This record gives sequence, structure tokens and C-alpha cells, in this order.
Amino acid sequence: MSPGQTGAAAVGALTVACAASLFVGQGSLFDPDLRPILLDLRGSRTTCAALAGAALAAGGVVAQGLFRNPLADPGVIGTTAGAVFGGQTLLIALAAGGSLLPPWLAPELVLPLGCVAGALLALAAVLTVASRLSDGTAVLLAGVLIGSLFIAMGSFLTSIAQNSFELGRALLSFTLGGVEGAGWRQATLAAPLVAAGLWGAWRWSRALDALLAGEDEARTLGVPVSQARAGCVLWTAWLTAAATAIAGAIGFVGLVAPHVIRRLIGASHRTLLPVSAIAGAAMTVSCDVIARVIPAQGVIPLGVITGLVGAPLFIWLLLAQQRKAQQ
Amino acid sequence: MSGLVIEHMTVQLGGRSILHEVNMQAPRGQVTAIIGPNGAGKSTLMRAVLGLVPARGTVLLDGMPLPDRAEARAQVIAWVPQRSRLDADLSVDEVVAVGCYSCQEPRAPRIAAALTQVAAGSLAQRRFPSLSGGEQARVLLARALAGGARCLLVDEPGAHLDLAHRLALYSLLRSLAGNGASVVCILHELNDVNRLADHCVLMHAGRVVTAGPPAAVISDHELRPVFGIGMRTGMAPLFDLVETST
Repeated sequence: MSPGQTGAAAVGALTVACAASLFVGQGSLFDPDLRPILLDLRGSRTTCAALAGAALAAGGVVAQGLFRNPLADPGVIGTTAGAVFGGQTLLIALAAGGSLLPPWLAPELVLPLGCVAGALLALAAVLTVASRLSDGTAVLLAGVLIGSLFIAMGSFLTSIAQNSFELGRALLSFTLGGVEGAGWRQATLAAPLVAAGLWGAWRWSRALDALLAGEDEARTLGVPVSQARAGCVLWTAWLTAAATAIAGAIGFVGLVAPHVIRRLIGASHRTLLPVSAIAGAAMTVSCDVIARVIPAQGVIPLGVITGLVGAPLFIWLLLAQQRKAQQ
Repeated sequence: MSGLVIEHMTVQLGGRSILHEVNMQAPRGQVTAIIGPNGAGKSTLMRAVLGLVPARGTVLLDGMPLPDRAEARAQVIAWVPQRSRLDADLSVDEVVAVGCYSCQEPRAPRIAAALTQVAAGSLAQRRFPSLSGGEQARVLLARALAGGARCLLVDEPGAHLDLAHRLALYSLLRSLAGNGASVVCILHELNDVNRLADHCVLMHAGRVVTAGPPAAVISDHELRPVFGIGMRTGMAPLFDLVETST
């Protein structure tokens, strides 16, 4: 399939997913009394899911280019865990000194800053370890371990925050993630963040194409490698943080969407990045619809559905990569 | 002098001296072959010129120092590695487009011209990993040409190629030099030096032993102390490229 055809198919899938998201759930959209409320609730929820999915998929594309490894999902390499930890830390700081914020500055407006700082910290740690490892699988393992470290630190923060009911609940809700409570305020905040992240990441797409041949070749082709790496790290952290600030920890979207699109249109980042972002949005909205139709007592977190889809695929990819390396 | 001039190039890596005060010239419009045994410092010299290893010394191209910035440097000097690490699923024109990283728009005519120059226009839409070794070598050369550099550093152009493909590639490199480029090649196959090069530099243990026309350098007198082998001339069969079916 050509990039244009694949892009059109991804847009089609996103349109269908968004339509399903507006119609599926308790209460009918055909009820004139419920329609305005349902459109408002489901519209903002769908928008937030689409934005988070687009950001995660684009972050996945950049991370995979940066590490030259198609398995480098922001969730797998610890970036999402870092962003969650950063967000948790900021929530605690706001609880302790929130009154210092000016009245016009709502806490959710500064939450992404904490997420960006946490994601940058995690990525810097993984890159430092990766610079001493030559094996791609070992780099991923280091990412998983650093992610576990950030999850453990986040759990520690959550447990010590249980003294305050409000703070404990806020931290737990943020950690579990999901878009069921997302409103237009979050969507309005997230849209420019994700748009800036997509634009910033796309500007490095040529450099990422050159880096597919390794740093030495990229440098001789004119790529300022250190700048490109720093830019890619920044935008990966930015996109992951934007998605985490909207929807909490959602795994595997950054792995599945780029993988499927790469198989269809190849590895050129100029097309892979935007088409994967659309596919990631379609995937996340679809998973949110699935979460709504599964009969359950409470709400099934979005991350559970993306994990159920993504984890088996990740294992399959890992085995396929191992087979390729042995050939 | 026009062309590439390397003066007092010294490289130390891990406390070991790899290149000692190397001086050499690669005249414009000619193919210069760098030969020498393994460990002579040929690849390190190329990497030092490209700014990939820390080095002391001066590199001039047509009398001007090479720019420090990667983007500006790529516009004047290009590298064709022996084997690219590129194994990603890119089309041929996407690979060549990477060579235009530091070029101004429009890039499409440059890509098409570079592919035509290496007779690979028909490969433009093929996937790079699916190409044969000879085809990949031509595409990597097109990637180097697309940037418009006037000096080409080519590491082992004939490696992994069968005789016909090797001769076709040599013919292409000679025509590039004929059009005014400075072409510098590392060669291991000494039988190919006369066929490809106008100028030859013999290296040993990080130093230039001698330089000059291939006929003067490829001699028992020069090669015996460096390679530790004797040499008889006129024994190797000569082949000519009669058609390029690539």
C-alpha cells in the first residue's frame, strides 16, 4: 500500500472509531433529552483518547528511530513510568504548596510539566545505560528495569500520600489512567501540546531516516547527531508526557500502531510518523470503545485493553526479532 | 593545490597512536587509491578526514579547510562506506533522499540525477534491503552523490561485488573523477589499483610509506617490506567490462 492509501485507511479507521465512540455506551444518542449531554461527555472523551493515542504512537516512532529498535515503545523503555512518576511528584508538590499557584493557573495546566520532567529523567537514564550496551535486547531490558524503578518510586509516593484521602485518590486515579473522566478542559489543554509534539518530532524525521544507518553515516550525511538525539529525546518525552497527562499510563500503543504502519508503508519517518499518529488515535479510541462494551461491575481502564492487545504482539515481535538476528 | 590535502594528521585512540603525521594529497579530477596491509591506518585516516574520530592535523579541500559543522562538511565531502548499517525498510529513492539532508529544496531532481548517474534509475521504487550487493553499492554511491560533494571517500568499493559489478563501479568512479571530483578509495585488491587509480598512497603502521603513480608504488621494491610478500608483475589475468547488465 502507498503511504497515501494507508493514510486514507487510517483516517477512515479513526472516523469509524470516533463514530462508534459517540454512539456506544449507556444511554442512546437518539434520545433528544440525553443527546447534548452524551455528545458533550463522549465527545471530550473521544477527543482525549484520540490525542493520547496519536501522541503515544508518534512518541513510539521517534523512540524506535532513536534506539534503532522497533520494540522501543515509550511504555517499554520506561518513559511512561517516568512521566507518571513526574506527574505524581507534581501532584504532591501542588498539594503541599498549591496555594502558591496564581488563581488563574489550574493544577491540570502544570501537570504536563511534571510529566515532561519525569519522562526526560527516565529517557536520560535509559540513554545513559544504552550508550554502554551494544545489544538491542539488553537496552530494552534496561528500559524495562528503569521503568520498574520509576513505578516503584511512584508506588512509594502513592502509599505515603494515603494519609490524605483526597491526595491519595488523586494519585491513584492518575496512576490508573483512562479517559472516562476527561472533559473539554483537558482536551483543550492537550490539543496544542500534542500538536506541538507532533510538529516538533516530525521536524526531525529526515534526521531519523539518516540515523537508521547509524550515527557515523548520519554524521557524514550532514546530520548534527548530538542535536538530533537531544531533539528526539525531548519530543519523545514531550509526547509521552502529553499522553500521560491526558490519560495516565497507557501501554503498547506506541508499539502496535507504528509496527503495523511500518509494515504497510516502510520505515521513512516523514510518512511513518503522521500515519502512525492517526493509526494510534484510531487504536486508542477503539480500545476505549471496547472497554465500554465489556460487561463489568466498574469501569475497565483503557490501559488494560491496550495491554491485552499489545503485550502478546510485543512477545511475538521480540521472538521475530530474535529469529531475524539468528539468520 | 586543488583536491584533497591532508597535512600532519595524527590520531591517538585508547592511548595508542594509530596515525603519525600523515601527509598526502588526492588531486582533483583523479582517483587516488590508499593501499596497505590490515592495521595500516587506512580506514582511520578516512574516518579522521570525515571528522568521525578525534584527530590533529589539517585537511584542505581545494585550498580551503573543511567546515567543522556536519551539515556544511557534507556539502563538500561524502563517504561511501564498505557496508552500510542500513537495513531498514526504505525505498531506494528514500535512501538517496537522505543524502540530500543538507541540500536546499527541491530535492527530487537531485535524487533523480544521482540515481541516473549510477545507472540505478529503474531501482527508485525498490526496497533497499531487497537489492543485491552490487545494487546496494550503487545506491549508496548515489546517496553520496546526491549531496553534491566534490570529494568522495570510498571504502573498499569492490568488496562483496563480483567481477562485472566491480568493473562497472570502477568505471563509474573514474567517470566521476573525470567530471572533476576528487575520488579517494581504500583498496585491498592490489590487482585493481592500476585499473582504477591515477595516484596511489601506500600506508604502513600509521604512516605514509610512499605515494605516486600506481606503476611506481605497485612494485616489489615498495610492497615487499610492507606486506612481507614477494611480487611478480604481469601474472594476473586482465578483464574488461564488455557490457553492464546491472
